Amino acid sequence: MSLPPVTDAIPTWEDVARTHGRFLYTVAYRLTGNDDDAQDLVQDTLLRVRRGLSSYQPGNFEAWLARICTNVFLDDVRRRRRRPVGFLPDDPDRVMTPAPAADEVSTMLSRDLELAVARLPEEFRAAVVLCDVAGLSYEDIAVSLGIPVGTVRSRIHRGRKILRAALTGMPR
Amino acid sequence: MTETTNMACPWDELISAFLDGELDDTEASALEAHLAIHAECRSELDEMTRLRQRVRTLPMRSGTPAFWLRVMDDVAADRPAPSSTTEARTVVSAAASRRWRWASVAASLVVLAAGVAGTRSGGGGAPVTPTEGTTVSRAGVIAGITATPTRAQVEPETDPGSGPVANVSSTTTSTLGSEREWLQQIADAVNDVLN
Repeated sequence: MSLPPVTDAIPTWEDVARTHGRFLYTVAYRLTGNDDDAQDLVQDTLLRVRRGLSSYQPGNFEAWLARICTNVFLDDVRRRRRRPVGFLPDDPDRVMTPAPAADEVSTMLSRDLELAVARLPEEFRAAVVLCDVAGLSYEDIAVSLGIPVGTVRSRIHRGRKILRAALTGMPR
Repeated sequence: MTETTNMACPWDELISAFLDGELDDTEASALEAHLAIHAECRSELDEMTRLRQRVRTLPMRSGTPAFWLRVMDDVAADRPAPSSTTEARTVVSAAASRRWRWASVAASLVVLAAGVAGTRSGGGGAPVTPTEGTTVSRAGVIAGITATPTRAQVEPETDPGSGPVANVSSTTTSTLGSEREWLQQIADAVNDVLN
């Protein structure tokens, strides 16, 4: 038996930002669909991390981070539901990704898909993002969202079907 | 939300879980047997495989250096996001907060200027080394966010008959612009502040 690795020590929230900042931003962007809301979500997630790091149990850190981010997002959605605000993803010109001419078609397809993800109903979007962006298992998603694994399975499959329907214009 | 595509088949709902490796052996074997005799479900599996792959390979996002400068200061000061509805807010007037924020950003940029100069004189694209407990650590944090290679969830297309494919994570260069471009943005921002 070897001793537990030193890396299991609880990181500082600045460590979290440095090591997982881009991952966190990507999850936040996929959940919110635009940079302004993603930035607010990243900030509130890091704040919650900073206030609650002592409760972190060494394990899959990004799963833990994605879970906090998603809960902050869904808490906010529930609070705002009485006054829903429509949004569109940002102007593609603001995206930092370089877009060489040869990749223009691919970029357009990515934008269509990003838009479709941003328009998924929030509960479906949370399940799909936790699965396909954050890489969580169904069991971890179920714990994160407080729903049965069977519901996770259903939401991910239906969410993907809605995405495909949005991209192909087929009936759903 | 209603759906008409292939919804009549009771096996349809298992297809995503199959792709995600989330069926137990008995369920997976039963679905594979069904796929062998039902063309419509095989077609569905193909389409879901492609869709899933596309979502997983969307480019990562990282935010701008200016955003990270601001958010690191705000979180350090225990300030929630401007539009936050979920986090308890420390009582600070908006104008005072804004003044503090800009002074802080300007100060951080000056420190970053030193970090950028140090990085360049060091002859390469290495991130600024953070020093714990100083403002320089913030520069290191931000450099780390934008310079660290990103994880892409790259998976091969699944052969409909081959069963679930385990997630393959690989390290790849970010599609969000090179570190050099980012350092140039920092240098430009510093020049804007200093001039």
